[in-house]
Amino acid sequence: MDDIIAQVNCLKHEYPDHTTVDLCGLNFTVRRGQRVVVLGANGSGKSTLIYHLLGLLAPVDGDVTVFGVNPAKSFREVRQRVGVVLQDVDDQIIGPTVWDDVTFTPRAMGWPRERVNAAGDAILDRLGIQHLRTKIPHYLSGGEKRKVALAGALVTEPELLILDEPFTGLDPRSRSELVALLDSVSEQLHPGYVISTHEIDFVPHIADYVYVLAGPGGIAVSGTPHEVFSQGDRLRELGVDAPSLAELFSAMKDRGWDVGIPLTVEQALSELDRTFTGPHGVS
Amino acid sequence: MDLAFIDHMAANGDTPLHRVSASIKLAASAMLIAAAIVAATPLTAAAVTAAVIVLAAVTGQPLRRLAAIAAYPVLFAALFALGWVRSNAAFAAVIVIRAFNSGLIAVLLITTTTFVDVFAVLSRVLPGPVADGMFMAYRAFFLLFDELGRVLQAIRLRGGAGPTRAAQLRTYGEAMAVIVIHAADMTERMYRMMTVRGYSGRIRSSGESSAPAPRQYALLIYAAAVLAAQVALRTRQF
Amino acid sequence: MSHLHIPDGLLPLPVVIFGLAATALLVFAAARRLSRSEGTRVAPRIAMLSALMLVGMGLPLPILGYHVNLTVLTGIIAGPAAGLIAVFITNLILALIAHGGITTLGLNTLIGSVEVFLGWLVWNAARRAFHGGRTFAAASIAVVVALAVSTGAMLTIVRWSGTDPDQFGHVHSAAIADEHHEEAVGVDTTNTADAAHAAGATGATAAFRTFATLLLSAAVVGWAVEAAVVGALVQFISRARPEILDPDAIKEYKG
Repeated sequence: MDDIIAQVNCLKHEYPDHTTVDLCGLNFTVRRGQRVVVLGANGSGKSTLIYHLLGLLAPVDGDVTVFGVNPAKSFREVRQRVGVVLQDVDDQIIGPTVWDDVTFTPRAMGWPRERVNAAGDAILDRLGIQHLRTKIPHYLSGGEKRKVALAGALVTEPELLILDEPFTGLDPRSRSELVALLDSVSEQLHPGYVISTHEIDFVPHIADYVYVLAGPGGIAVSGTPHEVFSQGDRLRELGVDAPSLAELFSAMKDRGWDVGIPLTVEQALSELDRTFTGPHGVS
Repeated sequence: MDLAFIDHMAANGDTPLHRVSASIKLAASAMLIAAAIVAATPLTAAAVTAAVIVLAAVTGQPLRRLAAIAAYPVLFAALFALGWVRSNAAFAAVIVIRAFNSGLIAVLLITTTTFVDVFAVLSRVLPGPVADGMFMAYRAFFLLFDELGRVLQAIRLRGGAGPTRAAQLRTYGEAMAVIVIHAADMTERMYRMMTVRGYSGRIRSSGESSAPAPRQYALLIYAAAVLAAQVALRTRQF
Repeated sequence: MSHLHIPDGLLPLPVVIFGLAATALLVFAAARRLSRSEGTRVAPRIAMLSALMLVGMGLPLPILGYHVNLTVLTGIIAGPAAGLIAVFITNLILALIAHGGITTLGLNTLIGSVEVFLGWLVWNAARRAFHGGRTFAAASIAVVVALAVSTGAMLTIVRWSGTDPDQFGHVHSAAIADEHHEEAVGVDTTNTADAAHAAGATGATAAFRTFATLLLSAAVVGWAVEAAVVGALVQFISRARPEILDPDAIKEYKG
């Protein structure tokens, strides 16, 4: 149990306009180094879950713990261990220059100057944005701002990185670059991830575990990407699509083909190889 | 909007004056403004104008653009000076030239120094909420100004602001209301994120990373000389 | 144009220094008070108000090239203390782009703060009088009263600060120059001096009258324009997000 870094048990929240969000059902858990993706239709509670993990909201009912503390009461204790990138990065870039923004959190936490400078330089180098150091944020492109926001989130080498819809507004190439960046960060720093997204086709590339939220129904489905995306009908009920490849092979399976449900192109090629060169296939 | 254009000039320009440290430019500007105010005759006031123009020209600034922006304070001064034209034309001229000079000096400063660098210097003497408010207002302005542009574009695409002046004023008032609502929500989101990121009451700007090079002090010497000359001329007059 | 900013070089040094000192005291006091009552929430709130005032200047109103200054709206939304600091920041930025003087930053801030304070006061009074309704009228009345009083305050500052050449020691009028010359050569100039100074004073009064007439003629139109725009703005907000108009409302974040 001690490798659980974040946990949400049956969370319920009510907003001032009496909108309620119910995330009961299956428990939400993030383990050390695990990459968790949260899926769900609009209004299903993805952002609500994230804001509870950040301590920005407190539940009416239920428990939220991050590194063993209630974030709504004691986020300060775990701030250094959590990094966050919001959907609209303009909401979180607050430093006058890129350097000021990236080093904002460690300075706010009272790190010595040398340590701040070392950490700032390290993350700028790691993300390839050292050349943006003295730039004023509102003159950056969308992609550059996203990298700056990510740098600000990673500068303290957090053990948990939370990303709210990180692929929104990115073109396909930028999305691929972001996935590569997250992979690289994962290899080097091994943080746990919580990523909320609609980009289904990227989920197999970035997730170890998937939760699908169902709005009033709470957490409806959870499991590895393969376990979740094999339940095409259930996902459709919840307003969530499966990755295109999974949909195709699921349809093939329904028609009697002896295929599994691949989630990546490589897996799909393996399935096709197996199918077309196997006992029933064409060599 | 002047502010956006001016900021762009400061952030993206690369003239010798851009490379001088903000502290030196602020001190030099203060001396030049003092010189502008001390000047008591049309001739001495015009001498200050010439000194500033020479500085701008030598450092490669776009003079016409700067003069156009600096002309704004002349409006108030001209309104005031109008009443003096008959009884004391020289005084009227001094009032107008002073206002222009002061504006030109300010614009020369801010088109070669980013607001961020100016605020970094000023934040050393201002209380926390004021200093932080400055930095954040600067950032928020550009976000909201872009939003206003989108709202105005939407108005245009959907048929315009209205057939009468009254209808147009209402439309623009409501457009501004949309911006106010957006600003309120944005403020709340930013505040939440600032809290998550550890904000405790001071946004620091790294400002100038090293001491100014000795040759930058030439600007200070120039400004001091202009001020000294004006003080000497004024003292001799009276 | 009810709200022209006083440029540099117009007013005597003691008046300018008073403006800067008074503003510094008020800004520091307001910052301290707000830090105690609102903590770290102060700065983003003030920043929003300043940014809105700056953005308002970019609204392309179709009358006389007038632009709104939104100081009254600031008072309505945020109250006097936060409004004062927001006006200071706005005026600082405007002074740097030559919309108002650097040395007169203090005086311009004081005048803007009069609008913030009166806007807040009259808005609340009008809301009580209208039993919470008629928001357009309440906001418009607040605008007109605040801008009229602030314009009067500005004119008073200009008039009573003694802006005339002789008191300044500026360029002398011909009469004063003659007086000095006659003194220098030992001529008794008492009567001449009195007459010359009286002529100067009359000139100052006449000049001020011209200035005030011109300014007020344009200002009255400006008050009407701003009243219409702010009235519509406040009415819209009162329908869509009324809590924004309550400085004490605590909002919970929602997405």
